[in-house]
Amino acid sequence: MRHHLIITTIALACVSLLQAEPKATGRPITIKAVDGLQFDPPQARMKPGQTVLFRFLNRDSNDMPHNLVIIKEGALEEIQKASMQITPEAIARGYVPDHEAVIKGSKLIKADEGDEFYFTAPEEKGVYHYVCTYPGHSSIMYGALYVGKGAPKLHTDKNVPQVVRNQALELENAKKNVARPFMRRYFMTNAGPAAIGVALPGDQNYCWDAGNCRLRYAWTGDFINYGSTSRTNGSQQVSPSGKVYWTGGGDNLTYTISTGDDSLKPDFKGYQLINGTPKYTYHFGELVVTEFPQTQDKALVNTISVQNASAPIKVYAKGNVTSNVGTREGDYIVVNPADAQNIQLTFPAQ
Amino acid sequence: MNKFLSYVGFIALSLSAQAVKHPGFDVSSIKIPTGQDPQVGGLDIMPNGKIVATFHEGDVRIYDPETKQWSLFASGLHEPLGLVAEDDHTVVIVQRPEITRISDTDGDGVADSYQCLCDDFGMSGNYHEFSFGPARDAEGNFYLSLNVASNGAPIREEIRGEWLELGLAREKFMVDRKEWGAGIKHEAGRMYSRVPYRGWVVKVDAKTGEMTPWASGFRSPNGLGFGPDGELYVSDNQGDWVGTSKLHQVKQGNFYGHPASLPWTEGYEGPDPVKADAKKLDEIRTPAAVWFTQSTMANSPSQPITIPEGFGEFGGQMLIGEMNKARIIRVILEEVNGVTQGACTPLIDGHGLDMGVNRFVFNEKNELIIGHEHLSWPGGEGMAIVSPANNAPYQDVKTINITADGFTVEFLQDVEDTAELAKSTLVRYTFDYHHHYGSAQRERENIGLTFTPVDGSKKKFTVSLDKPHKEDFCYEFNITPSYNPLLCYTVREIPAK
Repeated sequence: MRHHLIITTIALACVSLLQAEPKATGRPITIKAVDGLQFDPPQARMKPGQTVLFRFLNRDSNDMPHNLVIIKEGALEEIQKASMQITPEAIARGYVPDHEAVIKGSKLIKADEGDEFYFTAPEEKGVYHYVCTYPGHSSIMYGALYVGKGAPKLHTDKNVPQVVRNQALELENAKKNVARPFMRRYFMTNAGPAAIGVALPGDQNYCWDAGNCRLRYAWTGDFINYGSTSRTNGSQQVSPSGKVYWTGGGDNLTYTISTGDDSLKPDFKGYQLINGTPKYTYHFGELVVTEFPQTQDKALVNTISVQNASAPIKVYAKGNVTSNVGTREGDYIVVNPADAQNIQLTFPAQ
Repeated sequence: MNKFLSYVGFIALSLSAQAVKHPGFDVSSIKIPTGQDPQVGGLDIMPNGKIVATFHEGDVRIYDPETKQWSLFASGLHEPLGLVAEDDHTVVIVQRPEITRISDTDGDGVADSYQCLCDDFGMSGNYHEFSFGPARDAEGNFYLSLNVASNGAPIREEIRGEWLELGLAREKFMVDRKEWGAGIKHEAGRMYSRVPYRGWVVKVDAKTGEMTPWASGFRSPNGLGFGPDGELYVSDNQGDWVGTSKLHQVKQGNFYGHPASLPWTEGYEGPDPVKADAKKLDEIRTPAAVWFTQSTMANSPSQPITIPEGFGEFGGQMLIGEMNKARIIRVILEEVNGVTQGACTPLIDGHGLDMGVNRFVFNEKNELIIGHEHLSWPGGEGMAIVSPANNAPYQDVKTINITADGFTVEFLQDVEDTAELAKSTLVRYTFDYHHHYGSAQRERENIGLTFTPVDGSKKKFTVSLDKPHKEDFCYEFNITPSYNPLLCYTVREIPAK
């Protein structure tokens, strides 16, 4: 009996909530008016018939008023024309045009203020627009509301203003063609979770793993396109955009240095940027090791310095890697303590 | 106006009437440089007064409030979600793989030294293993919180750190997402901690980088900060084992409720956390100081911060951010029978604020700087400032204290209309502690309440109840004269008469 009473109470509370505000069936959508007469984001998506809370914020630092008016499909031009009227009636309506194509209009909002309203998407799939109808703004200040449809990539979207498309294209290109040297830590394919990606001058790139402190692979050409990692939860593993020419193989117990003592693990200490390029430091038992991969004569050269070595050490150099010192023994180069402070491994790109 | 609302086929519902400007605080924004993902994971003020912030794409940028210009200080970081400025040239940030001290050693304004202070915790490669913090204590040492993994995804083939051989076998995690989603995920536990110290708060020595596992039992603790009492406070997010979101006062060695982290306790001999018994866990857990009722108060609380004198009349209380609403919550704590507990109430609610209130710092003018974030969950972007500049008087509860049979409430202004005050209502409920995701409000009941002026005061009232107090209940008030009528008090302890 008692449970019934509780359930009834909760049900009644829910009913009274429903009367107070419509029930949202999707996540709120925040759209800001930002500098340069733009909406951020310039694209939004809803399902047909879905109700969401629209939060419109004016974040234009040029202190301009804006509104947000959602209009019928195909009516952008008409609304742009209609929004040019500066009449007492238009002012009284907060410049929302008195036009049959207007579905929903916000209040006219001053800078650093906002408005909220519930909006139910039309049942018809389509591309609707949200427009600022403050006189003079609508020609470039609009965004595309995709109802029941996927939005194309911003730089190809004909439903957003040209200037927004151009900016998106610039960003896309900047992310693809990084200014070298450049580095970014991220989840990377074929490496441990503490990976570091580095773009060196001369189109050399490599992945260094801060978990097991070693070079994992190297490639030439484009670096990594991070474009798809924006606004995500970071789950993605990124991979080289160019051609991988050397892969270290091994596993997460394979380290650059081997002393024969299998209990040792590298202890990462960080890196210095020298001309924007990282020089890594780690401890390996008593040994203090630095690794400094750089571009030299179109090849990747990793300069390794081992301090405190008292016995020969082995340096991981799988494949066609060459060394300035030591003698090859399988996947390793054996180096005498006297030579350990300046080991140069060369990774020739084909 | 209503003619806009009635087109056939379109149902546009009415504007929710809300005052846009807050009467006591101004909300404005800080412009962020274009060309980057404008999500802020960490915020602090340098001794020179400049704001330093971390961004989703791995950058650390410095903002000069005088010139309103940004400069790039550091870059390349892996999801930095917190930062502390040690001096004008050095910041300590927490990123996914480590806590890192970043310095400009040659004085050109750009960092060149990235010292790994500590990376002695595991990474399975699961996206949900965020690293939060740091909160810095009076001695300068750092506290981090390490998120547990989510069974929304498996782990990666290569991990960092020791693998916990307890529960679902590691190779079972090595499946494609389809197979994982079809069923194996449920065997992993809703949230899992299979590499060291996931679900823990850890302390890192500022000089040596030595790590001390500090406290366990966390699920998604996106917010650490020190309270006015000098104690560490950490928020946690509703989900499995978390009936509703909450704020904990965190002490060394305590367990705060989510069992995934327990096997990393020294000498642990207990069961696979997936098979943990709620009754047994209930005996060892430390409950929250404050509950944030799901939907009503907050869904995803973030960073707690102590309010300085000069921010309204709330100096010495705390604020905490909320990701799912455009809301900043004020937290009013007190100690009862040696236990810290207290109240929460919205401070800013809409008022031109964006959602995703993730990070806080106060500047020397007692303005609150806000960093917004979402990471693809509900939230927001950009930065804002909440300024007490206009400091106009408005009515709200200034403070609330529990008594043996009720509460005392002090308002900011005189309450002239006591008939209005008498319309206030109170309901109380509790939450389940169980492995299910969240909890309904249990044993919900209305409580009758009577306000009586204390010594003829128009500001201070005793609140007597028509039922005796109950421990471990959330008391939800609707205090009618208040600008923010919603106020919840979490009762853990009841003072003696």
